[in-house]
Amino acid sequence: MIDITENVIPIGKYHKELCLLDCGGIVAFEGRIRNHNDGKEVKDLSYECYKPMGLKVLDEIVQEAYKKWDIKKSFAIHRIGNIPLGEIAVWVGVASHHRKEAFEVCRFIIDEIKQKVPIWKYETYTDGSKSWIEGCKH
Amino acid sequence: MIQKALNKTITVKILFFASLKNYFNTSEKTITINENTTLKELRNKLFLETNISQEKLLTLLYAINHNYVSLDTLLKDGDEIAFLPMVSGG
Repeated sequence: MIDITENVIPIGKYHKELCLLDCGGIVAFEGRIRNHNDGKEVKDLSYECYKPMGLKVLDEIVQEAYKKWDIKKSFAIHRIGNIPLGEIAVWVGVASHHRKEAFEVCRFIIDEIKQKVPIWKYETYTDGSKSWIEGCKH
Repeated sequence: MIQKALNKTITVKILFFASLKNYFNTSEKTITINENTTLKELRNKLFLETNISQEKLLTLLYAINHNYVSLDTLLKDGDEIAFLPMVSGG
């Protein structure tokens, strides 16, 4: 399942759906809103998205993962809009028979999201300045 | 007849995201351009009127109708063109 949503990501519900009897490995990545970036204290963060294209690109990433690896179920969910510090902005969960595929696919999906899905961070700092973040340094 | 063909125009919708909105004071515009215009020609024409740096221009990505495309793509009537800064989701 993929989604780009303004709502809190229901990770408990999604995790339960990954608990399949034939899957011995579940790997999840959650990206959370940090309170600092490039030496500045972040007060507030929001995400802008080109949603129709974002959903299409996200779906292509996940479809590619299913072609390359033998996995049974996955979630790739990105939250957008204003997100409070500490909350989850992106959640990727993968279930497979064995751990190797689950680890590899989880890493693949989050790395591809950070390179390809048209979403941008807009940060407001405690000193009152604001900045678009364009490109991924980490 | 020939003159009419030469002057044929197309209308496209252009979307700007993140910091690019600041250069145009809008997130979208619809414009009419000559047929057989490439994305690169349109980009150059649009950004000529801005103070965008060459360095930033070189980092931009482009999409037409939700697909990433290269600058030599020929534009078609009704295209939705998106100018995209490097993404920063996740």
